[in-house]
Amino acid sequence: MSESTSDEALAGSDVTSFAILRAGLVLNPEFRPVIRLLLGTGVVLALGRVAIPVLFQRLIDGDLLQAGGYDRGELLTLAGITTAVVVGVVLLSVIGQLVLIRTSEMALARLRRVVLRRAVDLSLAEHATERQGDLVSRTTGDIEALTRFVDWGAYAWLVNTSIAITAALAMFVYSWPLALIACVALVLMVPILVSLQRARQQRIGVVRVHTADLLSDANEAIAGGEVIRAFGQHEQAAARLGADVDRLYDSQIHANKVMAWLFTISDIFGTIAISAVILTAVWLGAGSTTLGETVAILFLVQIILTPIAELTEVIDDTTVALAGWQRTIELANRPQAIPPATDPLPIHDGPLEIDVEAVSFAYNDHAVLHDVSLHVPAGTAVAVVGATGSGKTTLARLLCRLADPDEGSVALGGVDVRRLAESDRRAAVRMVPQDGFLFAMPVRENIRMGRDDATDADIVTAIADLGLTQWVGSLPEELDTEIGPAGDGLSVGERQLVAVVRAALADPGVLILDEATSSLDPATELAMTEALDRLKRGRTTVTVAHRLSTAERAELVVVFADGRIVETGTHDDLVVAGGEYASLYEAWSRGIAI
Amino acid sequence: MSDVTPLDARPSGGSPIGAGLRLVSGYARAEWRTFTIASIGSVVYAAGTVGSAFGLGWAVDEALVPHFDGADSRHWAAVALLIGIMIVRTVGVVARRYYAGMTASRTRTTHQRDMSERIVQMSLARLRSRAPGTMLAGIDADTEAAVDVMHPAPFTIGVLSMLVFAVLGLAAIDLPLMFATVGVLPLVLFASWASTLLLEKPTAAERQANADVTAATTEMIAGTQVIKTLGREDAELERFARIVEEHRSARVHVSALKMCIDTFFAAIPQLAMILIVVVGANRVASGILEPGDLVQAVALFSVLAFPIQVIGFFLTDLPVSVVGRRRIDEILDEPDDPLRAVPASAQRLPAGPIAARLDHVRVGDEDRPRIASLTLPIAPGETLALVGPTGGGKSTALEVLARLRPVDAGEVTYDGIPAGEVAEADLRDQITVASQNAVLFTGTVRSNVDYGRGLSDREIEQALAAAGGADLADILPDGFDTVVGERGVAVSGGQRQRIALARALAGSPGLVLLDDATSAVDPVREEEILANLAELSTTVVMVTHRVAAMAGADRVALVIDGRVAEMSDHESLLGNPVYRDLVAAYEREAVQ
Repeated sequence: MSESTSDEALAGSDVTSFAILRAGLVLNPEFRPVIRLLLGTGVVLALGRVAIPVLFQRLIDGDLLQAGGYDRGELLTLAGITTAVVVGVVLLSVIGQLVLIRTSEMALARLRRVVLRRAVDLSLAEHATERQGDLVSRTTGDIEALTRFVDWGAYAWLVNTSIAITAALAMFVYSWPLALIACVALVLMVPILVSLQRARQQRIGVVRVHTADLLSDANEAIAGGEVIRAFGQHEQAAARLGADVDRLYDSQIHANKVMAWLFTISDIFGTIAISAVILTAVWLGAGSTTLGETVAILFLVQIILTPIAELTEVIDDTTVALAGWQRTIELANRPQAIPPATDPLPIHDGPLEIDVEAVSFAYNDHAVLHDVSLHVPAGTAVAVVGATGSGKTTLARLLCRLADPDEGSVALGGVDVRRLAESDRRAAVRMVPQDGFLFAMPVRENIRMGRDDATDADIVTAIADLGLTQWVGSLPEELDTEIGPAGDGLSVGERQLVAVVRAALADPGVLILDEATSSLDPATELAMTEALDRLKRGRTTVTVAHRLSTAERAELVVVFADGRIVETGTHDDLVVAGGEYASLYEAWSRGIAI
Repeated sequence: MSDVTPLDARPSGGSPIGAGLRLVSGYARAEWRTFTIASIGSVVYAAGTVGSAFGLGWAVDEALVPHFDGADSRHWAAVALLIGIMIVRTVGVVARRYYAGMTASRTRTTHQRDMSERIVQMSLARLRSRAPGTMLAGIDADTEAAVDVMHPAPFTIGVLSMLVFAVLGLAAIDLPLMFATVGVLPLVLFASWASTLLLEKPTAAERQANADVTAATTEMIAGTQVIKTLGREDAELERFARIVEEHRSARVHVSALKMCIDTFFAAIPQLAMILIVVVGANRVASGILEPGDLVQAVALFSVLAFPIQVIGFFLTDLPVSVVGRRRIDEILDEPDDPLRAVPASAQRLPAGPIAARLDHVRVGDEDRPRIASLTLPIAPGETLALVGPTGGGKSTALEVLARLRPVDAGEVTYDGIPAGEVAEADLRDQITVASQNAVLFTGTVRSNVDYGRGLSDREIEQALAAAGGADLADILPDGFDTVVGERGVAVSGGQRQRIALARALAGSPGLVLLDDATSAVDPVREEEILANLAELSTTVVMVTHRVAAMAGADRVALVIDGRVAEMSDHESLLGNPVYRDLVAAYEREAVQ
């Protein structure tokens, strides 16, 4: 498991890095100046680092260190110039990095917005619950990895490369044979560093797997807190987590062994390079270089070491960040799922007829609807019934254009929904989903989402019209009741009641209702039934029914099985017909009436 | 691991540095063996680093200078010296890194174990009051942040010793040279201290802004369907843009500060080197020092360049670790579940159906109780349905019976024994629970039903059959050996509820408590399950919204506002207008 994870992380990174970079720059052109800034800052910093060895060379070779050659003025001039260079470099690099931070943070913030916008725009096929985790990780974790990379990795790449190249050039200026021998010694360490990095990455992959296991078991221990306590399984649950913690510890120690060696390599090879320089200088003889140049090269070798070591350190961060960036780019570049109508047609007010023509639809190659056709006259109350997964909820989603059919068409009031302006479509059709997701704001504001310009009086009127005044009065702070994250504080039924009021504010011609599956408590049930009866008046309504009583009251019942409509008719006709619906109804009525 | 635990390292109160240093010293004492080895390694490394500067100076004086003067060069000796010092340094650095990593990992492991223990041992009420995401982040990110400082901590000790060695070394070369450079050190320490203070608040603000972005992203993705049906995309993305903007400015603030601090620390050794050169050149020219001495002095500061920054890293890590540790402590401070405290004189429950009783039980404050005064006698072997409007206290009563919730007044007895005096093993084995939210653990269907009780396959299969789950043997890919739970195959809500119900029915319990435990099961199968429950030789108390279950129960208790309004069988209770209305709400569903 662990090996495959790390292999995946490694695979293809070298081949496509530049392609990812190019695609990323197209998506986020703000990153272009970032690269230029990094290069510029790198050159400035490199000049600062080289200043001290140069100072040394001038001192020694200018004979300033000899008894007769000492010249206070010249020494102070040299020291003054060097100080100016160092201070200047600090100032320039601070300015450069400030601009860099601002620019890159601006680019990252925009990337977050672009990616989330795209995630929200995706067709609901992409929002199937099992894929939400993936979307969340692309919009949070992947951008997070990229952020860390911009913070440190990208900086390390460009700045360190500049420093290493500048220092190497300075060495060659002083003496090419000495520079060459030093560079050869330093280049030899690269393959060792790279292979140690790979080992480290592989072992860190194992650490990640064990971390995921621990978190997954901890999540179960939290979600299953009641079961653990009721069954007195405290010790077993703690032991399970303890075993996860121990495995994680072992993998950390295993990774740590590589880490401990990794950072000594540059030190070892640095000493080898310095020794080689000394031996070479002696072997070449006094004529080829000066003492000052040789000493300067010894210092330059030390200056090169740190950037090379840091570069190998950021290799795996780079891989992770690029992979994350690639996933983000892929998401941002997906075609818009629901293209807006280019030449919209008008639609009339009031109840609308619905025409579904030979519609087929698949979620990611998983076919859900096959050749479904349905005509609903304006003002009819339709109940759609069928087993879980038979396609009834998908039909409801196509009716409000949360996705477009792969084949066939959906028309409201005689107009294909793809030809409706977005604002018209939203005025014409409104869905009350099964779990009325609420935002972390007061109930009143959650209701106002149904129609932005609704006044407080409109909201109170809508509530009264639906017969929900008493229910609202039962909330702790009535309309000012604050909702916690993801609707905390209200039951599923109560959340759906809020969604019903939202829909009433919008006053749509077609109402799509996805009934809650779980049973509501009687008080909420009563309020809901009453409110829905009132809301349905004067509209075409399509109810995805989970209770056969809803079907009983509907004017038209549509029965789904395996993505097809198998029966259509009134409740009474279908019961008499003795088909699929009749057997469902029989089981239900027995369950109620023991 | 040791009698000193990392818990002693509470960073509460005081300045960030003081709190951070107390944290580090507590951690170091708890893992003193590895920490000592790491520190010794670090000092060896420091000595080797300072030694390498002397080696370099010696090499210049004994190999290069004589060579360029045409005298005998001792280059082989110089190379041998440099490599010898390098080996010492390598041994030191490997020991430091390995054992520093081990110290951090061991400390983290202790924290993670303690937190796991707390999650399991804290009361259910406390557990529910915490956001699961925050607790998971605590186990992962906060423990990592808390111990992060233990990586640079031994190194910092090494760096301090390195500074001492460097000062001694410089003093050995030349005293004026030493005084010129030692003057820089207080500046370094002051700058480190100031930078820590500067970074603490912006760092915390940035973490908070980051958490806000993640929360907003997750909320929007979870609520996409609603956002789309309401046409709220633009408004919501605008709200998100504001949160991102706050995050961005918090990050710019922290990054800019960090960058200035890092750049400043990087420049200090360079400026110090220039100072050494100015002071030293004069003395070389006057013949007091050799050129090699000057190289040596400059090399000393050159090798110090990174280590001095380590003091900076260490000090900037301190507040991060203190913040991580404080978050961990919030969980570690959770007391044990008081419901688990059973006296030594615990009494055993006889086997068989349990007679339970709630006597004037109050749950919650006197002013706003969840249950005001509930008296509920439950006869052994009966099936009792709790019915009533939402918020009336049915589920709370069930939790009290399950010993998941403490009572604030009144008494709970099982077979006449006060709940607090019943042996824990009996509570565990004899009283079982299943609820609407059926949680399964990663493991097979079989192990979920057994749930650590060592039941026979026959008992497990009988329980599954009673819970209407016999067909799972055919439906699931590996039958009862299919792995379910977080890391297993996805099972439907109804299947999950049936497995959880089997868990409650297995092992011949005396009291089974069901809170809407079959809400996602289809009506036909629910009917079958209710019939099976009636057959079992156990007491069953269930909260239900299904008329069939009420009608099938031996007795029904109508619970309103935390009291039993009436208790009788279904038929007789229909005389009560409230009950009749409740039932009617369902009968409207059946026959309009």
